[in-house]
Formats: sequence, structure tokens, C-alpha cells
Amino acid sequence: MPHKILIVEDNENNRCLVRDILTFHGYEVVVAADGQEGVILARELLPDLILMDIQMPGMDGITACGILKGDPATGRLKIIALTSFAMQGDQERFLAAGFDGYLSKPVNTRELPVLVKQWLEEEPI
Amino acid sequence: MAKTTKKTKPALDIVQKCPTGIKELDGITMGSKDNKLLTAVEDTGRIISESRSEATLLQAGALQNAIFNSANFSSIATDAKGVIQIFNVGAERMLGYTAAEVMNKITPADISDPQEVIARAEQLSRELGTKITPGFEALVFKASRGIEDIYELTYIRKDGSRFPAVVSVTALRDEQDAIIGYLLIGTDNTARKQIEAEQKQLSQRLRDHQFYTRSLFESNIDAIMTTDPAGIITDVNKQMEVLTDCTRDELIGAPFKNYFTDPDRAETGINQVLREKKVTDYELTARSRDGKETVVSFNATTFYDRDRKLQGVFAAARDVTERKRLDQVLQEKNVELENARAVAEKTNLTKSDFLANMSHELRTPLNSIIGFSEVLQDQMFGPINEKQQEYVNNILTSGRHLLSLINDILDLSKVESGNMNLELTVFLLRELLAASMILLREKALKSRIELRLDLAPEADIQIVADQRKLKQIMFNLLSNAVKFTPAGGTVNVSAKKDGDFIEITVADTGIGIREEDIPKLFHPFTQLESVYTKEFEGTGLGLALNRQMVELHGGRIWVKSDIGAGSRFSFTIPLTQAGATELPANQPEIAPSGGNTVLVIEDDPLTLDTLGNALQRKGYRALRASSGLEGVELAQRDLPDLIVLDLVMPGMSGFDVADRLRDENSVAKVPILVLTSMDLSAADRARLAGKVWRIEGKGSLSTNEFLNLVENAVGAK
Repeated sequence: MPHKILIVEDNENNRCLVRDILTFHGYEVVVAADGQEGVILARELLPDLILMDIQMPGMDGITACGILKGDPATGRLKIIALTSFAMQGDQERFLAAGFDGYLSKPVNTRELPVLVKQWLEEEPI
Repeated sequence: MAKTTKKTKPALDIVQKCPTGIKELDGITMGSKDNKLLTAVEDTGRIISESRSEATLLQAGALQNAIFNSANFSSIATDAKGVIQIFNVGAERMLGYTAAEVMNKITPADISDPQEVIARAEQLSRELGTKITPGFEALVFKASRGIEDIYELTYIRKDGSRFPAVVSVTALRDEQDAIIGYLLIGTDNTARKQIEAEQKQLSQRLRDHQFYTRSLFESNIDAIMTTDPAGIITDVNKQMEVLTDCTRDELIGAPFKNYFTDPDRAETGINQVLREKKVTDYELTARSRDGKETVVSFNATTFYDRDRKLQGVFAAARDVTERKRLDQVLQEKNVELENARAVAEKTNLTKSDFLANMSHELRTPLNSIIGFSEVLQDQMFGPINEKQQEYVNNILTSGRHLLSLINDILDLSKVESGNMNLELTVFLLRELLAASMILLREKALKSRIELRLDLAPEADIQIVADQRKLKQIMFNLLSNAVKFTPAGGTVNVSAKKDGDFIEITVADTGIGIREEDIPKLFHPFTQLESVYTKEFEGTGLGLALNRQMVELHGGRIWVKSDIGAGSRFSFTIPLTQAGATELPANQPEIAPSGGNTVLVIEDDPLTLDTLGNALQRKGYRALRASSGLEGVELAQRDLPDLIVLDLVMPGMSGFDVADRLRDENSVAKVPILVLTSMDLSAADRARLAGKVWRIEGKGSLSTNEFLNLVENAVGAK
């Protein structure tokens, strides 16, 4: 069974890019266009990894992450922050918000599969 | 002599009071040694003896004798023609002639100043309306007419010297009242003349001095006045008259305070001077008689007489109306400027915020552009033809350039909006410089540019700074240096201690920068010659950002350059940072790792050294291999706990090493950490997959992050 990855990203192009790359590497990929949809899909599918954008219309990534981490049913899902907030202290902020990792945009398409593999192999905290 | 005296006795009487004075004066001339005249005296004596008592005559003879022998009066008697007949002791002394030398030989005119004699003749001619010959006649003319005559005359001595004399001239007459001669009695007037001259000089000096003092007083541009200790004006200059529209006479004697809008304050000022001996810049408003007000600034002191007795106050007032007006204008201008500055600052802040937002918004689509281009370049979903590959490469190159621009703009706007803070840590300068150089190693290699590090011993220390920013500064300087240095050149990094600063210099042998371009260098969006910017791709923001980051550290950055010879960019970082005392040291000397062995396989000696040293400081046993083959041998022999592997190496590459190690049972389980500065293609990654533990980019990894990774690997084993 391939690993199931959920991509939550409002920008359609970027969503497609990540989806296509990960699909190419053999993962089963599901996409959501905002936080709300992401939470619904996460609850329903319980993916092995969630790549979550931060800045989104409607429910943002931090809120969505908080909801999922606060719910025992989804609390152990691995959620990686995917954002272009290349600001100092962001990493700490996102980790504090409950994210398991951090990936700054623009995503290096060549590193993405390697990182995804690492995250999937890492034992849950 | 005794005989003579006796004979002359009867001849003298009181000269002035007698109406028959001529006769009596004849008697005076009898005090002569001359026989001829003695006869005359006897004659005269008879006449006198008729009108005077014997006792008086006796007495008069004594006087006559005394006068004849007087050394202080020159007595000269002549005959009617002026030839000297008697020349007394006084005359001998004053004039230097003996009586014998002049008697019967010359006239008094011959021993007088000829010019004066001529002048006298002319004057008398005019005065009396008759022609008077310059000569003896001029000396005695008045006396010959019975006029009493006393005048000043310059006598000439035998030795030619002169002296002023006052001469009294009298005609000597016989019984028929005919003139038989003249008597000239003279006194030396030198002393009096001298005193007169001195007095004249003294009073001239006094006048000069008064003039000098007055002119000092008057020529001052300030209004000046003096007052007595009670504040009553004692003197003023012209400017003070102008200031008050009152005359000097009106002002002197009036109270000082009357001429100001605030008399109390004026009086306080005077009292302050008297108390403190002086005041400076004491402002008062003078009010003139016609009501005109002038703001003046007073400087005043007390002044004293010779005995140091207080005389009053000397005050100078400068008109400061114009200065006041300028101050006012200046203040208004300052307010304007301040407002303009505030507006500019606000605008700048807005601009910074705008740039920050804009950068963020620009990154999102760029993410797609770069990402899809990479996927296409990797031919992930099928092959594309060569032309298409070329286009994709172009899109990717442009996209990445745009991204670096945006990143720099974002950084700059962060600095400008004050959002950029320093993350201070303690680290080894050598490691940071080496790590920065590694980032440019491949680029330099391609252009056959030598990268050198020259660290002064005193600079081989730990410093406190923002490691990431310092690395960025170095990266910017190094990439410029490599970019602008032709093949075969050298880029030298050096560091030394300069007082409380570390000075780091990146010197290249590149094309150099024109002197007039240097000031523009550190400003954002400065493009030097368009030729450069076309030929050498760059954001144009790197140096501006560098300056901001250096200044944020409290250092400064500058450049020295010669066209064609290269450039030297230097910057300083303070050795100590405020608030840095409680910083945790990043490199504890005591290792927590229990002596695990780490093998580093790396062909670049600098990197090998850096990594090896970092590991050793952490307490690891660091094995160094400078080639793939050596690495494989060491791995088999020592069975390390972790292998750190470079990919691009001459001879056996990192890929080969990974393959070989995985085939060896003994070392197959040893985790491999790949550290590379190359962009790995999907194929590269596929080749390494399953063989290595982790792949990291050299440029993006700090020493600490590297050590953390090592710890994870060793701990996870």
C-alpha cells in the first residue's frame, strides 16, 4: 500500500505541482484547497502525511493544524507546514503551533521527495 | 677792580621808575673796565649825584657791580654803531667768546641767528612802515626810538652751537640825549624752551591718547556705554545715541534703565554685573525716544581706576534683531524639515511594508514557475526535445534570478522597517569563513579561480555575531569577487583583529571598480555600468544588504579598488555585542558523545578540516579521507559510526563510494550522510536512494545543524 499524503494549499498551481511530483514518486495524493476542506479530508482519510499551507482564505493552516492536533482521532497525524513566510522565528512559531516539520516555499522539487520519505520514516513523536 | 667799583658807585639808580631813566641806565654801563666809558660814567655820575643822595649812589654802585659780574645775565654794550664795547662775564660764559675777542670787532648781530635777524628786520619794516636793514639796526631799532624792547633771539656761540635767549635792549644816551650806544641784557632761555617743548609734547600725547580712546569707543559696532555704580550713564558712543535716539549730552547723567522697555530687568542686569563682575548675552529691548524697539544682547564688565576703586560698568550692546529673526526662520525651517522627515519616514515604512507583502505575493507564483520548470527539466513525465529543454532552462534561470531578487528585497525591507534582528551566537570565525568559501568552491573551480583563506592568529577566535547573516555577507562578497575575477585569478579572504573589531577582507584580482562608482555601491538598486550588469548577472542588492547587515552588527563596510587590478571589500564586526554576555557557547569543549567515530570523505581540504575540527570539538573521533578510495579503505579498517560523504570528487566519486560501501557487509549498516553542493537530479537521487541515510546541501547547513545531524545519526544507531 502506498503512503497516503494530503496536500492543503489554496494556490491551484502549487497544489498541482506538489501533487504531480509526489504522485510520480508513487504516493497516493489527495488535495484540499483550504483549511476547512483539509480538516474534513484529514478526518476522513487519516493520511500518513499532511503538507499544509499556512496562509489560506477561510481557515488558515495554523487553525487547521490546531484542530487536528487537538482531536484525539487525528492528533497523531504528521503535519508539515508549507509556507513562504521566510521570516525569522517562523520555524519555532510553527512548531509551537503543533506542526511536525517546516518546509519553506518555493519548494525544491528535487528535495521534496527525499524530505517526504524522511518524514514518513521518522517515528511519530 | 676795587677801584673801578668805587668809581661806578654813583651811576646806578632804579631803572624803570625814573622818568630820567636813560641817564640812570647810563650809570649801569659804567661797570666797565673800559677807560673811555669810565669817563662817561663819571660824567653821568655827576648828573645822578645831583639828584640822589650819596648813600643811594653807593648802594647803586654795588648793584651795578653785581650785574656786571653776573654769570647768569649776558650784558653786552655797544657804541652807537653797534660795535661791542663791553662783554661781561655772563656773556663770556654763555657765548664762549672772551671779551677781548669781540670788543671793538663785531656787533651783536654777528653772534645772532642771521635768519632771525632778517626776519626781524622784515617784521619791523612792516610794523613801523619804514625800511629797516637786516643787521644790528634790526636788533636795536625800537630801542633807538625810545621804545622798550624785549624779544627772543637765538645767539650763536663761538663753537657754532646755538641757544635761545631773551634779550632786553636799551639805548644809551649822552647829556644831550644823543644815542651813544646800546645795552643788550640777555638770559639763556634754553631751560624754559625745553619745558615749554615738553609740555607741548605732553599735552599732544594726552590729546592723542584721548583721541585713541574715543575712537576705540566710537568705532565699535556695538552700542557702548559706561555707567557709574548707581547705573547713571557716564559715557556713550555714537551707536548708543542711534539706539536711543538721544544725544550724548542727554544720555550722560541719565539712569541707564530708562532706555529699555523693562527697566527692572535692566537694573537687575547692572546689579548682576556689579555682583559677578561681568555678564554675557544679557538680552534687553532698547526703546528709543521715537518708540522704536531693538532687541540687544549685552556683554558688560565692571571697570576700575588705578587704585582699583570701582568706577562703574562698561557695557556693550549688540543688535540681535536680525539674529533673532534668523533664529525664528531657522526654527520654522527645522519644524518643516522635521515634518518632511516624519512624512518620509512614514512613506518609507509604508514602502517597506509594501515590499514585504509584495515579496510574499510574488513568491507564490514563482513557486509554480520554478517548480514546474524543474519537473519539466527532470523530464518526470516524459522526454522533451532539445529546444524545449533550452527554453525550460531559460525559464528556470530567470525564475531563480527573480526569486533571489525578491529575497534580497524582502531582506532589505526587513532592515528598513526595523524587522531584522540579530540572532547572536558564539562561533569560531575560521569555521564560518571556511563554510562560506565552500559555497563558492565549485563556481571558482569552473573559472579556475583560486580561493584562499588567510587568517591572522589573533583572529582565529570565537566571535559573537549572527552566524547566518555573516555567512550571507561573506557569500555576497565572495560571489561578487568570483563573478568579477577573470579565469586564473585569485580571491583571498583574510581576517585580522583591529582594536575591538574583527576586520574581514575579501580581495580579488578582478576588473575593479571606478572611483566615482564606489559611493554608489552600497545603495540599493545601484547599477554600475550597464555593461557590467548585462555581463554579470546579479540582483544589485547584495552590497546594500551587506551594508545593512554589517551596520546592524555595529560594524562598517568599505571598499578599495583599482581599475584592472582588483577590489578589496572589507568590513568590521565588533568583538563584543551588547547583551551577549549570557549567550550559550555553541561549542562546548567537553563532548557528550562518548567518543563515537565519524569518517569524513571530502576532497576539499578546507571543508575536510572544518568538518573534522567541528567533530573533534564535539568529542568525536574524526577520521579524514581526502579521496573516495581512501575513504572506502578507512571505513573498512575502522568501522566508523557514521560516514560523511561528498559526492563530487576526482577519481572515485561519492556515488561510487556509496555503492562500494553498501556492497561490503562489514560497513553496510553504517549510516551515510551525504553533504553536497550540487543540485541533484531525480536520477541522482534515485541512485542514492536506499544507500544513504540523508542528503544535505552544504550551503544550507550550519555547523551546528551538521553536528545535530551527526548526533541524531549516531544516537539512532
